[in-house]
Amino acid sequence: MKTGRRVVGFGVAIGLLMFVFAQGQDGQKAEEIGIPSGIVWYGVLSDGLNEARETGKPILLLSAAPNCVGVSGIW
Amino acid sequence: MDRSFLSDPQIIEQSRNFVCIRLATFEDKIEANFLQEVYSADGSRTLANTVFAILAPDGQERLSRAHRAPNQVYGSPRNMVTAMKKIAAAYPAKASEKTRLPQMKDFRLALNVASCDGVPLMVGFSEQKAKLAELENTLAKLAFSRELAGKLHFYSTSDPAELKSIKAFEGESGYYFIGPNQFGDEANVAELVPAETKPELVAEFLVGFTSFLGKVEKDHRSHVREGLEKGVDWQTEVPVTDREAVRAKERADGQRKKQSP
Repeated sequence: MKTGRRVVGFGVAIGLLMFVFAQGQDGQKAEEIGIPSGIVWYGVLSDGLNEARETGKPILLLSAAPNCVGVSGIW
Repeated sequence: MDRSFLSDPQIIEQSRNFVCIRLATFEDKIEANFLQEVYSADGSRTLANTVFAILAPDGQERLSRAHRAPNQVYGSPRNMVTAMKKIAAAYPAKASEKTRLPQMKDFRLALNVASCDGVPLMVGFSEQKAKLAELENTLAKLAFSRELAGKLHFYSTSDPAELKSIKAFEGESGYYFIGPNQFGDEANVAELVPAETKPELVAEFLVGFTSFLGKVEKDHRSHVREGLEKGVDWQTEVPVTDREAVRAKERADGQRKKQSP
């Protein structure tokens, strides 16, 4: 697959991603290979409201804090 | 967040008939006011860390009770699916000329939220507005494609200063495939796909990587413990009003002070 110029070599990229997504640091691990499908979220209120008005779709609204006691990286 | 509901395959399927908005609580004054109005409609309540409701397309009329999480409104995923089907039937979707790119309001938040969800972040960048619009259009289509829906997050910007925290960022136009770190406060570019790349090749690239990677799951307790030990201290944009969260943060800040040299 040719995707164009790489910032880092493919091997480095894979190694980097494995570090970030699989090995990670303490307290995180990768689930089985392949990211599962999920809900597609608008993260900006005005974007979502405009999309709903234009499409006529109802709105599934949720909010959550992207930190716990000030520690980011977790809901 | 109630993952048992939001990761339910039938709820995910039904979500395609809705515009799904997930806001970061306490990260924008206007959005916090909106959430406060929705949350307190059934009685005066202080805005909590989490809010859930289903609204009509006008964003005003509530089609469900508002509460902290879907389980408190519907009790079970099956009940929620039934309600979503009924609501979707009453609001058939109209064709739309253009789909907006689902993204967060700034890169700092986008990186953190991607880390929270344990998924990669794809950033479209170009200082040329017309080129950026092309990148956004491509990414928006991919974001809602059957192969990629919900598998990664997206962000776009024309401001190189906003991306200065990305290691190896040199200001080149294109699609930056990024792996957020554990706390969502650092970013590494794994791949740069040039802006001129055909959309089908961008899609091929993303499908390949998201098939290869796994979603990161974090142990909440050990993540927080490690974050406190490392001095991680996320600052919200607006004051937190969730009383329980405020008390917990005060205790954590006391721990931070003891650990600081």
